[in-house]
Amino acid sequence: VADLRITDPALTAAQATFRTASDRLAPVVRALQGLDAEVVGAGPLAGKLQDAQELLGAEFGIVGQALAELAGHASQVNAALTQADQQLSRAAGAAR
Amino acid sequence: LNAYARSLPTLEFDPAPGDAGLTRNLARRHFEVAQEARQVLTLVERLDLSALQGRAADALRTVQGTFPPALRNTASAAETLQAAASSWANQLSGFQAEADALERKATAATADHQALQAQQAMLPPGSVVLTDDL
Repeated sequence: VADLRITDPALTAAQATFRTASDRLAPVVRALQGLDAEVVGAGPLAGKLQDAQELLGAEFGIVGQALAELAGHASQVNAALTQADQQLSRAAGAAR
Repeated sequence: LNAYARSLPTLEFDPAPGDAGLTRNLARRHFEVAQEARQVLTLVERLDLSALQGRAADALRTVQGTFPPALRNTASAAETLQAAASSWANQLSGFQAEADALERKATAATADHQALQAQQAMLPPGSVVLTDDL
């Protein structure tokens, strides 16, 4: 009965990977927000560069947020599996 | 007025404002952003969920599959910004060197003009002055 473990290392790895990926993108978003496009000098170029940086930062933010949410979903799936595993273990224990 | 305009007193304006060094640094930061996106992409792509079964696993794999294109796009966009900033930094250096040369020429011309005006002031009254020299 002890072998009836359904905890999946792949699921645990998924949680960790998505969480790590999300955590690594957060500083990227902050870095892009902190860049001074005015250094290029030419006004129109600085404006376009600033817009592009803001857009890119927003995209990184969206991807990072989605990765964090997926890590959360993976965690929920893992918790559901663990709960099912425990229930099965208890049922098997009672049947012995 | 651009915050990075240089003082060119004779020209009275900076025709090539900006900071080439800081622009190169900006390009480096864009490169770092692109690198980080590529590393996160590798991280996500390396994750193997093929062993998982069931609808939840299918959903996880489907969502996982949406990240690589998004991360590739953001990395590519950051690389485009890096290339643009880097290229502009080189052009800006050239423009600023040209502006500096013009400033030096203008300063020399102003000095010549002032010297001629001083000479004219010392001429006896009624002297003929070639106005083109002034």
